[in-house]
Parts: sequence; C-alpha cells; structure tokens
Amino acid sequence: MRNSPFLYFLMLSLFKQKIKHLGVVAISVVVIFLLSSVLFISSSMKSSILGGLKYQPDFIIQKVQGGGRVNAPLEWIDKLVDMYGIKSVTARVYGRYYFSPKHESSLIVGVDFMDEQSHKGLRKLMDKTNLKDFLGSNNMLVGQGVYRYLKSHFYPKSYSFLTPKGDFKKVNIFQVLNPDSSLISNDMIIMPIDMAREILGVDEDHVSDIALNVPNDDEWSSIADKIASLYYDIRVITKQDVHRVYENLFNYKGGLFLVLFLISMVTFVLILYQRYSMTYSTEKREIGLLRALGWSISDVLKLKFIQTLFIVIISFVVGVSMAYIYVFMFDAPLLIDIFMGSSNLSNDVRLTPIVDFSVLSTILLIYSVPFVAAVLIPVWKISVTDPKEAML
Amino acid sequence: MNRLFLTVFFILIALVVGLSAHYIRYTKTDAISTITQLTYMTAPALGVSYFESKNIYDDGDNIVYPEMSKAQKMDFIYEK
Repeated sequence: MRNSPFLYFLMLSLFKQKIKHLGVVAISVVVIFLLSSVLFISSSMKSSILGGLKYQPDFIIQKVQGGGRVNAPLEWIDKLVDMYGIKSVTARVYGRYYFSPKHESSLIVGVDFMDEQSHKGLRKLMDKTNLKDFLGSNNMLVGQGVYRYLKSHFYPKSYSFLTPKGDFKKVNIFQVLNPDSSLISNDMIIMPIDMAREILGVDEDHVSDIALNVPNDDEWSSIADKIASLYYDIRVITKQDVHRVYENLFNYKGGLFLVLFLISMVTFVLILYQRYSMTYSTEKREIGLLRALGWSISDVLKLKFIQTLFIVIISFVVGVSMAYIYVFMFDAPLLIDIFMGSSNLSNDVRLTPIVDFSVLSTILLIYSVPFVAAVLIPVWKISVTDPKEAML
Repeated sequence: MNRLFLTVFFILIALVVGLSAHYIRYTKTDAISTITQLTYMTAPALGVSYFESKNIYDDGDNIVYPEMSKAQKMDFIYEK
C-alpha cells in the first residue's frame, strides 16, 4: 500500500485528524444504531405476527350492539354452515379476566379440543405430555407473563377464578407456554371451552364470536356481503383487515422513528456542512497546498470523497452491527417497551432475527448521500479558488 | 498506521461475517403458529393504552375503567 502515494497520503490524512473523524463516526454510529434497532424490532415483530396469521380464520363474525361486540347467538353458526362456499365454522369463546379491578388482566381463551385444528395445535404444544392428564381435570395452559404474575402473588400451582355468579373456580396450571411465543401468548390463558364459559359468564347458547374459512379466495367479497346481509347487527372482519391493522401498527412505530431519524440526520448534515464551509485555516491551507503542488480539483475531491466513504462505511457497519447484537442477542432492553408497552403484564419477548435489506439500503442511502454532499460541496468551493488565496 | 487500518478493516469483516453466520444459522421456531393454530388468534400481547391487547376484535372496553363502556363520539355532543 505504501507504493501508492495517494493511498498513503489518504491514510496519513485520516490518521492525522483522527479525533475529528472519530467524533463524526461516533455521532453517526449512534444515529444509525437507534434507527436500525427500531426497524429491526418492528420488522421482527411484524414478521412473527404475520407468519402466525396463516392459521387465523379467513372471517370473524361478531354481533354488535351500541358499537361494541356482544356475545353472538349459537344459532348463527347453523345459518353460516348452510351457506355455500363456507368451511370449518368454529365458535370462539374468549374474554379478559382482571385479576384486580383496573389493573393487570389476562386473556382467557376457551378451546374446543375436539376441533381438528385445535387438537393438532395441542398435540404439537404438548408433544411429550399425556393429553388425558390435561383433559382429565381442571387444567389450564398459561403464558409466561401470567405465570410470573400468579407466582409472584403466591399462586404457583393453581388459581381460583371468580366467576360472574360469585363462585370460585380452582384451575391448575398444567404447563407454561413456550417463551418463544410470548409475543402473542404472554397474557394468555388457554383452557377447555366449557370452563372458559363458566369463568367468563358466557352461556351455552352464546359464543364470543364465530370464525370461519372460505377456501376459494375469489368468493371472499361475495360471501362477506352475503354474511353481512344475514342480520342487521353483524360485523364481518376479514383476514385482510387484521393483516392491515398489524401492518399499520408496526409501520406507525417504525415510521415515527424514521421521521426522527430524518430530523436528526438533517441537523447532523447541516452541522457538518457548516463545519466544512467555515473558513478553517488549516483545512483551507491544506487544500490550497495540494493545489499548489499540482493536484487537480478532481484529485482533491477524490481524496475527500474516499475519506468520507471510509467514515460512512465504518459508521454504517458498526451502527447496524451494534443494533443487530442489541436487538437479536439481548432482546432490545428498554427500546422494546416502546412497542410492547408496560401497562399490563410485563412481556419478555424473544425477537427472531429478521433483517429487511431494502430498509437497510434505504438507511444507507439517506445517510450517505447528504453526508458526502455536506463534505464535498465546501471542499469543491475551496478547491476552485486560487491556491494563493486559499492559503492566506 | 497501515497496521491500524488493517486491524480496523479485519474487525469490521469479522463482525459482518459473525453476524451473518448468526443470522443464517438461527433456528426459527413455529411457537407463534402453534398458538394461533390452537386458539385461532394472532393478536399481540401488548400493554399500551393506544392499543389494548386483543382489542382488534373488541372496541367496547375501557382500559382505565374496564367496568364502564368507552365514551362514544356522541357522548361529547350530548355533553355540550
């Protein structure tokens, strides 16, 4: 490398002003680290949720009263089953159970374990345990957050639920759900559907809502219209609606940070521009000296361009790598709360590594182009002046 | 000086290779899909005021006062 005077001079110049360059690298690393971390969290959570959406039923049918959901009558199921093109109509029974008023709550989900899909899911979940033991007595499966809460309130093995009738229903904790599923199961309690009815006060003639599938995608809109016209107080939620809600939810959070990034980036670039365009005698003299020694304008620009490129690449690689380690190896402490919130049971989510390369390349572009421009424009302005004048 | 730059260069390369290996070798679990398969639900367990957990299907709850129904747009109009 020493054989090339240009490269040698380039490194000499970088080394000579290492404090200045290290300062710029440090600020850039912090900005890129923060933005990449948020986008990594957002894309990982979005991907996990949307991945699970493939098992979500195509339609959810609800009864609406006063703008809110109320329990739907079971007879609706008979009507829906008779409709041509509809398959696997399932009743869902679920509801929130508040451990103490206005405080922590969990989601009780009643599952019909005789249902084919649910049975398969249960088999997968409890591969090594005997299903008879689970179904034999009052048992439930609880999420990590629920288990932590119950354990801290001296209910490590079972919990007595207060039913709407005023009775207590004691249910044993059979198994704690896999922490890898905490993103959706943290506050979840899964139990047989009849037990859920008893605890939530849903009578046998009603269900929370109805899920169904329509195998032919082309029939979705016409079937949605047909179902909606069955009753005046019906609400039809399609899988696309749910998909859109999740997309919006995570894009909103990620987008918020992208806006903050743009603001901080513009500020940073303005500072850089001002710093380079100010009449720094040493900087000006150096460029004037190079010009006097016979360097052309393009040589000077090439030198500064490669110098800036070094800084950009180092900052980007270090910033993104630090974000990857922080998010996917340490599960993003503190920042994850922006997405998960902390007003209910605390959630220790495990984030699956998902890197959206298109987002990364956009960050690189948004970061590098103004950065390089902020350095090169003032340098070009000095280079085009007379060397004698520049060295004054 | 050259050694310093080479060291920085190799550290960066090692960082990128190490993280790429972690990304490729990471075993993705289907734990979330299993729960969805079992419960027919995908709603995230969030605990934030703007998006009360599972409220994608239910907008009738009030997070602060769960016993009360949520204030509707018309309530403010009647209030005036």
